Amino acid sequence: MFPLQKTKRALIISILVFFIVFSLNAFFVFFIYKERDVVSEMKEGFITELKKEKQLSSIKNLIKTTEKEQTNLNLCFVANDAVVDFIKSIETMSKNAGISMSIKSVGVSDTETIKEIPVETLIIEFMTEGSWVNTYNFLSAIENSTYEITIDQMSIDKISDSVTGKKTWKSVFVIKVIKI
Amino acid sequence: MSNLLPKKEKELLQKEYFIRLVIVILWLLTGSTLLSIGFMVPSYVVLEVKKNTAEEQINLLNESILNKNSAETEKKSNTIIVKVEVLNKQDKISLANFVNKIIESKPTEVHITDFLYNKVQKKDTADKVITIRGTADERDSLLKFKYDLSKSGLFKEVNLPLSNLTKNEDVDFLVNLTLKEEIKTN
Repeated sequence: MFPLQKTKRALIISILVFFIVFSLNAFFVFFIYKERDVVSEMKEGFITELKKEKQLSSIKNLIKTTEKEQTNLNLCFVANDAVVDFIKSIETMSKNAGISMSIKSVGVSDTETIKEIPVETLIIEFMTEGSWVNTYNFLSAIENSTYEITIDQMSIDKISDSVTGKKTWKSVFVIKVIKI
Repeated sequence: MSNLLPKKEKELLQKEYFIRLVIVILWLLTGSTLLSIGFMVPSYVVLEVKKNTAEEQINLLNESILNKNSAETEKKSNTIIVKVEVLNKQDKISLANFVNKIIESKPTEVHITDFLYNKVQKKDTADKVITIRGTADERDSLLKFKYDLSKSGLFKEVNLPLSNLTKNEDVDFLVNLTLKEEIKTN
């Protein structure tokens, strides 16, 4: 009598052991491949971060070395808290030019956000009165100001006093300047 | 050699042999699979070491970036970029130069009383127009003034309406000067 039952049991055990080991192997292979992908992703991330860090360093250096140019650039714009200073500077220009000046309106338009930086257009309307030469000098002073002023509208009229016959020039200016 | 085993016993024996052969093959396969698992262990260890090293390096780098106030630097650089962009968009003309040129071109017989500068909106552009109002002692002086302005090269169009030329003396006039540059509004 051959121990067939015993052999069959050994076969079943062998099959079970083989499948367990094979599954373990498959799991291990899958796990290693997954880990390899994770490591390569991490390496790529590291390289990207390294590039970012290098760029950041160079940008920081650039910002440091161009401080003078930045100061000049800042002078072209009205700072958010310096609207009054800007109006005062226009008034000083009119005084220096020898003409009288009165502000009619101050407003803000075209508010937009570029790269998370709010950019606004400050619009100022004002009237002046004085001689032709002084009015012309004032116009030149506005245009040559460090602020990047755009004259949106301008009207210069010659006015003669009916009593004294004295001739003066009355002007209305609408100017725009960027507020950042 | 004579066959002493009965047919049934013989079949059983063959079956037993086949099963044992399968068992041996299975154990061989199991052994080789275990061996391959053993060979994969060093790769796993190397990968784990690489992973830990990469994690440490990334952490160090992140700390370094954080120490450099990246957000502040980004805001600073963005502000500079925006300011330069805005400056480039500005259409800068010197009105004083135009006014000066008009005064230079003016004959003594022509007297200007008003300057008006405005933008006249067209389809997708806006013309910059200076309007001059005044009086001329003689019609010819006014025509010479118009001619000189046209030849100055500063204006795209010098428009003196014909109605201004009806009188020969003490001519009230209005001249529209369209500046050469156009402003893109769209």
